[in-house]
Amino acid sequence: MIVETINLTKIYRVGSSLIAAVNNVNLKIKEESIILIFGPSGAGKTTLLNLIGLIDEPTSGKVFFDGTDTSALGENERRRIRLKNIGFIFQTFNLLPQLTVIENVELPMALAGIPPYEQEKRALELLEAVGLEKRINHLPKQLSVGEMQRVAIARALANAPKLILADEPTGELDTKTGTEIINLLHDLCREKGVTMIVATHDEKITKIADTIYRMHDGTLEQL
Amino acid sequence: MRITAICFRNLKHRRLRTILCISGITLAVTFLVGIGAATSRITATIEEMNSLFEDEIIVVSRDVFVIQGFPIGGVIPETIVNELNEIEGIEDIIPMIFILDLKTGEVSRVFPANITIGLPLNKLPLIFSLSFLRVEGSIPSEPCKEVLVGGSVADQYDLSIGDTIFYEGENLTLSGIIRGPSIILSRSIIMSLELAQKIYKYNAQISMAVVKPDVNADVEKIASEIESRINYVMALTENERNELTNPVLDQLKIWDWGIKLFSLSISAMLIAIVEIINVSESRRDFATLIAIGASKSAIFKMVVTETILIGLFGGLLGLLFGGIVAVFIASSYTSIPALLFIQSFFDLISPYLIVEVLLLTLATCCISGVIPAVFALKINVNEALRAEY
Repeated sequence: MIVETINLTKIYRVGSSLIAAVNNVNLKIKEESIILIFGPSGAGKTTLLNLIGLIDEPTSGKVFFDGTDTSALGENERRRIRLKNIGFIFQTFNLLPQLTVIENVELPMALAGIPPYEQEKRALELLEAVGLEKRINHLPKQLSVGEMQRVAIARALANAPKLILADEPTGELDTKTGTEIINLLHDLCREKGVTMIVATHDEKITKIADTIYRMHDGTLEQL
Repeated sequence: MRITAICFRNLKHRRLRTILCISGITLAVTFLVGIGAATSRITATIEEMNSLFEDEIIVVSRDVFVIQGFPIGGVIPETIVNELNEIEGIEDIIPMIFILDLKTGEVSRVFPANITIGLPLNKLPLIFSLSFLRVEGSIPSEPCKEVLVGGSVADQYDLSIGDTIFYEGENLTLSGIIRGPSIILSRSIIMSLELAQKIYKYNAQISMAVVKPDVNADVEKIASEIESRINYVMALTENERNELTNPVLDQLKIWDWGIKLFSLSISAMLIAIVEIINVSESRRDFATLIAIGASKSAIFKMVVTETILIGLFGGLLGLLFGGIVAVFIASSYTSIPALLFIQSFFDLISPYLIVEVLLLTLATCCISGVIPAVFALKINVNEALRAEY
């Protein structure tokens, strides 16, 4: 299993009341599979992805990543797993506005200490794979939203991760572009043997998934 | 892609703020260098005055104002040399006339433009160690017609050896030019005692006598004996002269450091505030960086490098403008042409001052980056990634 959660719970305090954003979630995800977590806004999808992605810490329960119990790890070890093994794709792309397309893709590699010539070589390959080889020196503001998400995909794959977490990857895109992006993600993950967990409320995405889960009020059920 | 490259991009991205910050630092450093150069010139001159008369006793009129070894005004009779000769433990006595060309009443000046020194020329090497000075030409052989001048004076008036100078109503010949690191001697006109007495109408009078004690003599005892025997003079030992001027030098240094710390503290606050605004506006970018695996040290470095880059640019520009300001301050207070100071720029702005100001600026900018960097590290990644901007 690349990811396994045991009784994963995240409770937030809002004023005087406690809200369980993720409630007792048990999940097992095999290598190279594509998982869809489907549900309305506020169902707890993003919180679950953040917990699996080691950005957030659970109130109770455990997350195992590639067999390692992450609850026993310190912040620095969790960061290293994020950097080298997990790629993130956000709804709003979250590209650094002052960096060019190629620099945004090189960024995770720079943080991982990969030599500059290697960064450039790998970034060019990834940008070619997402069809942006001619726009490498453009700034994010000079790109369309579809192109920005392609850059985000290339960035997520930069350090050859084992897992990609995509949070509403088509949320900001029109239907046609959304479909293109999802197909691209699907193809790249299959080609590179990467596991992908997609959180979405877009029903059209369901066709690419190996397993579909529905999330509602913090609980997860397999469809 | 390196962290410094990201910092450069960030600074370029927020161009106006960066320019304002750099301008603030530039202004502060300009101020520091301008004031620092003036202060260090004054303190170096005062300190040098005493180093010329190390281990010697200066005998001056009782009520005169003395800056280290040199009296401002006041006269004593030349016959004092005979009286001093009667005291035991004295190896040599050098009568001197020392005149600061302050020209008060005409233009008020802090720095003297020229210094006239009159002394028996055969005793010149006893007073001024010529080993660290270079004399172009020769020491005057005709005491009533020839003079030596300092390099700065010679350069200012384009003088060469053998030139005739019309000085205070006398036609004098330039026999030599003194060059070297001495601020005092570079602005001096050195002549025989007789000639100085004639020009400045010191009839059988001198402004000071330099008493050189025997090697093993008790300097304090000799000075006491001089004052007890000759009641109209002060005999100042090196320690006494230092006691007179050290409080002034200490005050100058305290004010200099006070001004430096005040200016740099204001600059540090300016940079810290602007950088905190920058970090707040880039919360999502920092959250993204943390999410994709940037280490705490990388985030810290990113913020602090930005402030250091601001300090570096501001510091270098400030040194440039500060140098120009220092040249004009020195020029306006001495009537020595600015060009002359530019030619000897590193005498005015010493390498020590350059290094000190640059290090202080960089340290200030580094410290001012710490609070924004901590602020960036404390960003709640979950909230920042969810927030809509």
